[in-house]
Amino acid sequence: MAHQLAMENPRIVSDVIEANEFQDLSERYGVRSVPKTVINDRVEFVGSLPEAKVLEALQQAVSRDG
Amino acid sequence: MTIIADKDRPAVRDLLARELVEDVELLLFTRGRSYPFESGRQDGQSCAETRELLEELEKLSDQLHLTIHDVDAEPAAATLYNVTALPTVIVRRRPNATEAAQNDASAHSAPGEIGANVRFLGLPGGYEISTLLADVVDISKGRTDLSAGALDVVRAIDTPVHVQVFVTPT
Repeated sequence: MAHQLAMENPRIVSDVIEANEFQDLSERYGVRSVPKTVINDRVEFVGSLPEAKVLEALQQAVSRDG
Repeated sequence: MTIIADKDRPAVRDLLARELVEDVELLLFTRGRSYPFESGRQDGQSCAETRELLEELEKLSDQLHLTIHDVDAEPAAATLYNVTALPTVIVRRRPNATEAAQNDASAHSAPGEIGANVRFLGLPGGYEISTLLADVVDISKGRTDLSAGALDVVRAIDTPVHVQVFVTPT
């Protein structure tokens, strides 16, 4: 679903990252299990969430005081 | 030895023939040889494999077009598309002739205008091949299966967002 967000809004850049290949990045973001999603370095969740929960995370990540 | 199994090829070919509308471009950022680690840049180990996968895929549809940027030969390409990891694969609608000409005229508008924001860092192998194919189909059709309510929320966002999804191939 992350890529679909980017397809619908050019302000959203969506990267699917092969965690084993980029271990520095995985360590920086504390990846212990996959899929792990990080939005704007401030909101994160593990696993595949339903659409409503992903949107919640997205809104939290872009809110000024979230 | 191929990356897309021989037995899967006819199904992938059929899927692409059935589903694709607009032509799709696969942009691969890679380097031809192995280089020592360069500070500030994440170098994956799968450049050759990723290239092979995309070349196999391109052969399965006339509507898929692979463009390869070797960042050692063309460092400006990586800068233009803000690529900091290798390999990176960008999936986007193929620019038409007018858009392509504009890209040449004003390079900085290129990524945003036709979208260069759907990316894979590292080999999109294993299960991620399905993700890649789904992306190709969605982009070709110019629509996703997000709900109407979700579209309202997503399209209303007017600040930059960076979503990173960490996956493993199996």
